[in-house]
Amino acid sequence: MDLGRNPIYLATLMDEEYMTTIKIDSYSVKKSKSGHYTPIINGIHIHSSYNPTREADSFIEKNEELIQEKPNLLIFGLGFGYHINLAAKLLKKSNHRHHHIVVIEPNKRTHSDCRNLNLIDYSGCIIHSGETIESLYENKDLVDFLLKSPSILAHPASFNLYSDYFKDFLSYRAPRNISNLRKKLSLDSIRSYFESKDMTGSIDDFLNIHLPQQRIFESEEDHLLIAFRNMTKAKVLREQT
Amino acid sequence: MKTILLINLRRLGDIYSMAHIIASLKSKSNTKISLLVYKECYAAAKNLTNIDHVYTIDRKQITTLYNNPIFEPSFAINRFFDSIAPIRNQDWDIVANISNDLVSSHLLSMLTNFNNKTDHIGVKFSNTNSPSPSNDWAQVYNDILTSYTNCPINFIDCQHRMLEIDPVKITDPLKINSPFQKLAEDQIHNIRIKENHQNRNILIVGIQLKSSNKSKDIPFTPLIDLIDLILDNPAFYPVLLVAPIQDELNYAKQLNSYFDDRLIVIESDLSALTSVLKNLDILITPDTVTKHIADLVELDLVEIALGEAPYLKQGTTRKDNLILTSTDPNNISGDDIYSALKVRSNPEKLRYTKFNEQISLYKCTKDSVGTSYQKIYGDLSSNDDFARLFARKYLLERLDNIPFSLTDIQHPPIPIMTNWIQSEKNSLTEYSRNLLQTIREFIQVKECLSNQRNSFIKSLDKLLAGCDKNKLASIPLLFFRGALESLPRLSFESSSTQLEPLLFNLKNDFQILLNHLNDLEHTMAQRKPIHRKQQAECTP
Repeated sequence: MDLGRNPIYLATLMDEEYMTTIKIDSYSVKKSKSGHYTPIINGIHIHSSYNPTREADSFIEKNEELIQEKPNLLIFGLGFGYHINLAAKLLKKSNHRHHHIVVIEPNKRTHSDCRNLNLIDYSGCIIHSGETIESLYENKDLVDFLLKSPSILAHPASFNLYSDYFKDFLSYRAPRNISNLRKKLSLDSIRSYFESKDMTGSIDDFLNIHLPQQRIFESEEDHLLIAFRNMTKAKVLREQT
Repeated sequence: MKTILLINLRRLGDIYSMAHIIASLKSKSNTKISLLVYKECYAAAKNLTNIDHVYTIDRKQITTLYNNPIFEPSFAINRFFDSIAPIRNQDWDIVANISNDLVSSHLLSMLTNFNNKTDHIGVKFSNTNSPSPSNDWAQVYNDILTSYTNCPINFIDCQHRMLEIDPVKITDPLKINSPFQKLAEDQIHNIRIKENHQNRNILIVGIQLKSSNKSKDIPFTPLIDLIDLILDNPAFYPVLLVAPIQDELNYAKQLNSYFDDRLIVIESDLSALTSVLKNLDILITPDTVTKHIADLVELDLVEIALGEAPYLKQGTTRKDNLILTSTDPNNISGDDIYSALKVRSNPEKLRYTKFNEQISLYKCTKDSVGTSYQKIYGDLSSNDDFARLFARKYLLERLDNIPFSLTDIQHPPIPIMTNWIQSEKNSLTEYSRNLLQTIREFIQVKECLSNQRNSFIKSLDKLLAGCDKNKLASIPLLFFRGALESLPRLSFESSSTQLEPLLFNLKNDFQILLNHLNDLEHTMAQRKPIHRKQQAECTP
């Protein structure tokens, strides 16, 4: 796609393929005065219409300590990646031997345009775009990344534009009912175990109330789940050498 | 080839302590020993020799996945089951529960309750959820060592008996990293050369600064005073030992600022710590993993047992090492620790050494049972040590049929002994009374003469309250309680046939204890005339 001759690019409105997760009334791409591209979504410039790279510089400088504090960084909002590239450079300069950046971008179109324009320099960056909150939290790799307690950086224009989406992400509560759990268990033995239990209700109630009250433990899974319950209840103390 | 799985879900020090039973198991027969530990202890487990495989459970990650509401609980359950899959898929000859907690006990149940081929050691849960110890020593491990504070036997000795193996002398229990070893040798050798004044053989003293629990740490001011005293003595030179953790490094820096930053701080992770300790001459440490490693590399040490340090169960096990403790942790001074250091390096000095009033100093000794602790300074007239050794003899008689004898135990002065015997007999009388009441209530309920089951339960509760009193009679009570908890959870009528013999066995146990106390009282009484005669001869 060559945007050079067509400084304003209008996506098809309400394109189902790109706009499933958020309401977009208008989408276009424009060149700034410095010659850098910026998307304009619902009339909002995602980057500076004068100089997106200078704006990104200033943004990253303000957040330098946050970015370098930990080796893993979660960024809300891709835009056209100017802030991502600078954040990546900063991480490389830090003391962390291995570092990763994950970006969450609600708008698939922004991602595809960014990719087509080759705007992201950093190969270690993983971008999740256009996904529902539920599917994000079902993603094993993203879950593993979140377990590492990454620093979180919100690109202001993206965060404000998609504030409901990001707030839903931050306040998400995973379902804990057994019917949902059954579908997600990978090992046959434990899946069959829960399928054999004619239960509704939450896994917490099952582990804390029903299972301990069982008079007989009929299977290895009974003992394993009691072990699991006791392990996850205990306070994890900090270990020192 | 026997395949053995040892489950130990405790902390770093406990993992290192397993080196003793691993060596003993390995010497007994052709065995392949594997460990199951939490992931945070993997580094410690990998340092042990004679291990075929280390399996891990990432407890921290799984707990976070389960308890953090943003994550689906299926992630946690899947990861837990994935961790367990490799050990479920193996055939084990023996699985031993070393950590003895609810998690390890149910894992042991999972591996052995549905499988006749695997023997279990330790406590597991039956399929009716009753605790099921493999033998009497497993019950001691589970019920006595956890509840009886004046602990009569060291963990490692109890583990050996539970596993039905004899202890052996350990050789090379830990892996040595050659580059670290060379580095540690060279560095510490350089310190020796530099600080070795007047051609004396200077002793390099390692001081472990931090433990996992603040209440166990040597307090800051005594630490400063201790280092000052050591620096003033040309026979010693201190080095500070820390882990590569920012908190510890900051602490060492803060301490060093009092000495113009001239102290040597040795920062080492678990793999390097072994090499560091092997090159030191003596160690001062709170109750921490460093102590356990030091025991394995046979380093002289002084253990500072403060806070919740369970020194009677898990103190240093090397002969002649010292344990310094205080009834008031705020009342331990740098001078006290320094004095203990001098005594450890030269036991003769004890005669001329004074400590604070509340200080007790124990020496690690060895007897036929294993490790014992002899109080060599402090209130030598107190009966606690005698009571502990009496309990030790009682356990050996009860469990191993070793004839009961107190002839090799030093007695406190007769008046103290007399009071102690009386106090123990009083407790025994009280518990016996409670037991008789319980038996009466039981018979009445059983013969349907009374519908007062509640009354029976009340009597039983009153009887069991004695378990927490740390009296000698609490020991048979703890055995009784353990046996009670192991009964299948059936109806009262079904349980009563098994309960009845337990009650009468307890009565028998109390009688045996009473006989021993009476014998001791008789012995004391016979000594009294001699004692009075000696007093008379001394009186002008």
